[in-house]
Formats: sequence, structure tokens, C-alpha cells
Amino acid sequence: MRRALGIFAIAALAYAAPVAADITIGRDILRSGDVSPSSKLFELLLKSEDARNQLQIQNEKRAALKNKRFKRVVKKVQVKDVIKRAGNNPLNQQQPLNNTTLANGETVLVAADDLNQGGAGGGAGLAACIGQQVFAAPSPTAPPEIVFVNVRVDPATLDCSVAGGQSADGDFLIFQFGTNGGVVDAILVFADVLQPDWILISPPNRFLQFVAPNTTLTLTFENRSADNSVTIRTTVLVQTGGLTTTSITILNMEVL
Amino acid sequence: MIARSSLFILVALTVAIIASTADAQKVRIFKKIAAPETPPTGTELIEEMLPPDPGVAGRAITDALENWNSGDFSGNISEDFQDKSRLLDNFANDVPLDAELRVTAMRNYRPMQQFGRVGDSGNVEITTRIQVTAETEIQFNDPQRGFRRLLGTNDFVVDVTEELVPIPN
Repeated sequence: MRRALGIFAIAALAYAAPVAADITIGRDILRSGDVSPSSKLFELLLKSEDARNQLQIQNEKRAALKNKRFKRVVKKVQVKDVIKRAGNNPLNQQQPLNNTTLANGETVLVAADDLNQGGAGGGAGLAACIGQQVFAAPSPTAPPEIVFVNVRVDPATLDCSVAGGQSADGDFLIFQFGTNGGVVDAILVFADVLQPDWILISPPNRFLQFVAPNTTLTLTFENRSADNSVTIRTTVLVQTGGLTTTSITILNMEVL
Repeated sequence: MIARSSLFILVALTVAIIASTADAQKVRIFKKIAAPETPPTGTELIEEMLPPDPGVAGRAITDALENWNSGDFSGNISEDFQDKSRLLDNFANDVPLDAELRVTAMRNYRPMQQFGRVGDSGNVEITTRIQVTAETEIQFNDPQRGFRRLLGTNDFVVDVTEELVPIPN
């Protein structure tokens, strides 16, 4: 019986030994008073005590925080961005009122490549406007005339069209024919101030440009959307033939 | 033996299928599209968001948008708002004094991100970036066209900042 018990004890120890991580051997006691305050061991004990205190404080704080309640008080609300869906956007940077530009008031999201070259809608994109011409032929004897050039992209088909005329709806270029004694002496070209998206970038820093008769001038405009997400660059050629006929040709239009 | 292992595999597969189906039947959780947005200076990103109550946040956002009526809503427009000064200038020039904005409906409340910092008062301040769809109505009298009513539906991205004020036990 005793022998069997001995074998069992040895077996139990053999099984437990590799499993246990730390083995406490003996129960000797170290008194801190016996350790010299100038010794390394004393310093280590001090560090250990600090760490234990910190941990205790942290634990106490965490325990106290677990039962704490906080009132959530709204202090500030700030609008960071507006994504237009339909109708009027009261925070539109250009026109807080009446900024519904499309009939159904919806923003149309179009890939830049589709807008440049056309896409699923069947239209040819901005490419359809390239090469188009608008003619203006005011009478030299009539009062000074203003001609608008309008570029429009159909949101459904992505077809681009250019039109000239007297309408002031959605235009971007204005040509004003100055007269001197009933004879057209100069043509002023300027971006429509009512459409502040259009900016004349070449010639640079110019708001308007005088074009003398029988001259040719290349102008470059950029149309930047309010959130700067889309920039369309348009280059036009203005040719004034004689004193009465002016043509505007779209040389290039592209989404940058 | 083969029959027993086949039975085990069958049971395991059944359990797996039931578990996955049960997961799919849960309420659909919104997974935001990852957009790298660094926390504003001095704040830390709170990954496990605790967004404000939609009712409370909705009222606060409504109040902020309706501050448009006072004409002095600069404080409700973030410094990050594109062309903020242009908006304020055009508002002062174009919007008639009698124009009145009302938020008529709010939906699609969607907390996107949350940042936190210890505020000047010593309390924690958390800012929750929320996207919400709001319907607005503006009424005013146009001298030429008479009574005007402008409706709009827009998604507003709004930062709602809350202070966590400790309640004494």
C-alpha cells in the first residue's frame, strides 16, 4: 500500500512539474529594514512599490469611473459640408436662394471621362462642343448690342451644345459691341459676372478683353464648381472680321 | 467509423449554416466606406463610437440650421466649410430680411466618425461627425415675384460637439 502511494506521488510530481510555471521553494522572509537604503535591491524594491501604488491608484480610478455618470451636453453644432440632393440648398456659397439649377433640382454625378467623351447616356460629352461656332453680327447703326454665348450639357444624355443669343440664362461669355459714331469700334469679351464659376485664366488676371476688328484672340476660361470638385477648362477663339461680324469657336473643352 | 465521421461533418456543417443565417438575419449594420480622415488637431479618434441620441442630435442640428434666420450663423458653419466667407457675403447681399428657413423633416441619421479631447473645463468633449438628410423650406416675399417658397433636400455633414459633464453621486 505504502509502495503504491509512493509510486502515485512520484507520478503526480512528474506530471505536475512541467506544467507549473513558478515553483516556490521555501518560505524565507526578507525584511526591508535589513536592506541597505543605498543598495540596488532597495532601489528595485522602491520602484516595485511605486509601480504597485500606481497600479492601485489606476485600479481605484477605473473602479470609481465604472460607476460614474455623465450628462451629455451639446455644446456646438457646425455644418462641415452639404451634399446637394434636390431643390434649394440654403448654404449654397454663390446663391443661398434660387440655386436650383436643374428642373428637377438634382445633382448629377458624372465620371470625368464620360463628361469629356460621352458615355452611357448616348451623348458625346464636352467633345460635342469642340469646333462649334457662334456668330454675332450686330448692326453698326443700332445701339450697342450684347451677345451671350451659352454652353450647356444635357444631364441625361451628356450632350454638349453651344448657343449664342440674347438670353441671359446660364451663359458664360458676354460680347459687347462698342460703337463710335454708329460704327463698331471694339468688342469687349468678358466672363458673365452673374455666373461667377467662369473665370478667365488666359490672358491671366484679366476680367475683360478688348478685341479690335480684324483680329484673332484665344481666351481660356475655367469653370469651377462650388466645392472645387470639378474644373472644366474651355479655350475659345475669337475672330473679328471687319467691324460687324464676330465668330466665337470653341477650341477645346475638358474636365481637368 | 466512416459513418460516424460523416455524421460529425454533417452536424458541424449544419451548425455553421445555422450560425451564418442567424447572423444575416440581424439588423443590418451600416458599414461606412473607409475614407481616411485624420482627427482634427488636438483630438483623438474614438474607434468605438457612442453617438448622441438621434432625437437630441436632430433637435440640435435643426436649431443650428434654423440659425440661418438670425443672419448670424457663422458660428454654425465649420472653418473647413468650402468658401465659408463667400457664403456669408452672398447671404448678407442676397437673402431678404424676411426670409425664413424651417427644417421640415430629417432622416438618414448616420454617425460617421467620433473624435475626443479633454476640453478647457477639464471635461471630456466628444465631436461626432454625422451625415443627415434634411428637408428645408424657405419662405419670403420677393418684391417682383411675390410670395416665394423654396423647398430643398440636402445631405448635411455636421459636427456635433458634446461635453461630458460628471453627475455627482
